[in-house]
Amino acid sequence: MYQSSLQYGRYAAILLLCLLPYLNVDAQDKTSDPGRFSGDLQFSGRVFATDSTIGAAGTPFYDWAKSSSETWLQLNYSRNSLDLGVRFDMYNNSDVFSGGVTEANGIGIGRWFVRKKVDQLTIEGGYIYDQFGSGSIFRAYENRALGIDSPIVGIMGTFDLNEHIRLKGIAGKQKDVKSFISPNRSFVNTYSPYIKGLNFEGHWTFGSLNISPGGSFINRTIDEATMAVVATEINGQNVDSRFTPKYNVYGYSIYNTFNYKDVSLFLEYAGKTEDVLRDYDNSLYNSTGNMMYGTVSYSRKGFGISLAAKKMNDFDLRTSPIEQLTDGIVNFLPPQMRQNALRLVSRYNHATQPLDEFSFMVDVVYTPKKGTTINTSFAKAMNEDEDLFTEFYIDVNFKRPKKKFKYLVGLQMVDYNIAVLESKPLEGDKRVLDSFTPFVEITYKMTRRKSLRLELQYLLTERSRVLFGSNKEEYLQDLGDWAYALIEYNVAPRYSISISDMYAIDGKEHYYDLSASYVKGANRFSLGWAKQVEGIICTGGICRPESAFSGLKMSVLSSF
Amino acid sequence: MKYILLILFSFSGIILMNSCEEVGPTIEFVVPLVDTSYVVQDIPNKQLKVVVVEDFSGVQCVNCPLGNSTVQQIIDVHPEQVIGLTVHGGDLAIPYNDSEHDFVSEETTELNGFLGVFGWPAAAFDRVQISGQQNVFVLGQFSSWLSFTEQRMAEEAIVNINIENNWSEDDRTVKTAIRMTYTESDSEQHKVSIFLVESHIIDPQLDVIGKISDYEHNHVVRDMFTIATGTSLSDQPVVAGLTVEKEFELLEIPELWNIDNCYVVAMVHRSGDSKEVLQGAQETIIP
Repeated sequence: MYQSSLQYGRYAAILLLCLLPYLNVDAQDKTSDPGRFSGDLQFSGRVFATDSTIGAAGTPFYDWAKSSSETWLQLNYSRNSLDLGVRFDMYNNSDVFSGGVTEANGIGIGRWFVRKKVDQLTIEGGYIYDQFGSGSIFRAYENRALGIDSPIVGIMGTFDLNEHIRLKGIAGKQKDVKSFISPNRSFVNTYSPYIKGLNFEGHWTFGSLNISPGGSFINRTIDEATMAVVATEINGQNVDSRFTPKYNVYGYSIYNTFNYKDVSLFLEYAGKTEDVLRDYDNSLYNSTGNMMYGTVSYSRKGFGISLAAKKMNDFDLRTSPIEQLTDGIVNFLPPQMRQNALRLVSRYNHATQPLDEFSFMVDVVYTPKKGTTINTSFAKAMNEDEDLFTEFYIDVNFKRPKKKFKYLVGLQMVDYNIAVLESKPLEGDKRVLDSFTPFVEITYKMTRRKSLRLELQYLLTERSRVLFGSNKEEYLQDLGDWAYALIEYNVAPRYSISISDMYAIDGKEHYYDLSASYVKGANRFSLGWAKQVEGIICTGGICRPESAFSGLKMSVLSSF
Repeated sequence: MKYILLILFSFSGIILMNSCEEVGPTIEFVVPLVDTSYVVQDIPNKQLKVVVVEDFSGVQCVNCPLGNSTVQQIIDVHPEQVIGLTVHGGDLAIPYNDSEHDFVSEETTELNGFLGVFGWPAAAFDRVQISGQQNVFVLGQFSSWLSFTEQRMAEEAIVNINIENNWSEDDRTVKTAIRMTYTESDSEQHKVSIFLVESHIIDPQLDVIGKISDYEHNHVVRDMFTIATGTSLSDQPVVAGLTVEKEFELLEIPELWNIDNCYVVAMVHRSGDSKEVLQGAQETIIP
């Protein structure tokens, strides 16, 4: 009976979408607005070529699958104040969920929604992406590169109380993308625990002062079947570490943004009641949690400075403690780190540690004269016991007026606690990788549309011993030193072709990448051949391992 | 009106947080000293069915002495086949200022909640919902308690229970070894609950004639060797011949408790939606 009601729901949704253009959804509306269709397509595919020298072998992708693809096709329809959308998702032997270890398959409706605005009230039903405030206690979002797709399947109401205050309420269950890629998928795949939330945000202006306060509340209720699994795991632990778990966790946050002329200040405090958490040794424990976060920034023409700090204790919030890694996360805790784009500079990133972390970052941007900009940044993260990540970064961007060359020169130094951040069994000095990465990027503008770009980077490990003469024992940190070179030819806005090589100095291995892209209107096509080293892929503080890759990559992005 | 809505909205989260006290899942906080299971080929004869009558009571519960005496009368009629457990809980079980004993414990409070008892006196007969009743316990209806008990006595016991106790006067420790042997198979997993019970306790009790200062309290659950909802018997499938041996201990028995009047009660019961007690047994601590 349950299965047939899901099938009925699927057919009803499809029928509604087909009939909708013919329905007069607003009896009072006499306009002849036919509505608008829009959408976008994202396709990415890979062809795998075995290369055992870099470890690109021995997985299903190289053994028999040989190719993989992911496709997201979103279709939207809007008419008057009614919005409808449906997204077709297709994963064929996809590696995004496992980082290249096991394949995933799933085809079906990955998302649908209906949204209607009636006066001050907006109601949305279906798969909902949204967040409260900074996302510290609730964020439903998507990160395709990491295989994260965590909308709330339910209903949300947003009410504009007046021009200053907005209220929001949401209820439902988080989408379980793992079930979508399993053979037992159904039309709607969700985790069983139930999530409800309330949020208010306001905005007032008093002369040059803008104040935007907000508050959020979230409640997650674990279902009976999930709790039975949790209780079984607790009962399997040493008796001294057993506890009675709670079905319900309540989270709350209060925050405020002040903007006064050139100064901006954001403060947030969030907390949650007793919840079952998973410790670093994989055992379950019970704890309340809290987070404090603040940023202050000052900017005027030619100069900007920002400081940010965050402290978290036991602030992991998931659909249930059964879920691990990137599964079932209900909130979002971004790292206090630079988001670097250059290949070697972005090799070592900090992954947010919600159980125990204090982090801060200082960013300064200075433009001493037109055409020259200096960026500096210092960031540090630590837990109760040790430092986790330290980064010093500086770059200078300069371009002389009417000159064809633009330069970016800089360096980065990172102390990366590889033992904690990558869970490697290392002791003493070996727990921390210390790197020094100088880089230069030169862009030559050949014509108004054509340009040539050159990147050179070198990642030196064992910085303190090699450069600063410390008496630390010599040993290979991670995969050792790297050199990187890229040359890219662009014909804006249409064509781009690049060739790069990331060379492992210690491993004596070349990782080539030959890529080309073509843009026509709202369509972008890319094709490339690459050898990629294994590593960690991070986005917004969430990281996961990624296996080595060798083969062809292609993608299509289109919006209409 | 809008701002009333805002205020209500703002407090709704706080209201939600404070309105919900939970009953969590069963966590085994007690680890047996001995925990073993095996299958014997020689299936023993079935023991007589022993019914466990849980008498939910309280020292300030005016009608509870009638419940106590009803249970005692049932035991007097069927001494080999009925075990009484007096479980104190709820507001009516709060001791008087001049009470020497407090019969309420974490376990008895949890038992009241576990069976959903909301009125006193009440009785459960093998924790089975008697035909015509709304719950697994019966409120009042004392004249029917004997027949309810005899209904359960007609059932066959599918598991034999044997108890051996050991008392150490030096450290006032009781060890109890329970051996349970199934005489029939069953599709469900079961639990065992083990109680430390004391009788002949003289302490105040409210009655219809007033407060009785020297009331004799019998079959009082003082403590439990297991958690209130019972501990899992075995992961093995329940087949005829399955024998489970468990040993527990209780440390530092209070001096106020007269060990000569104490005994151990063990009962095997279902662990799912049905809480049915399959068999009970009792054994004195001091032979």
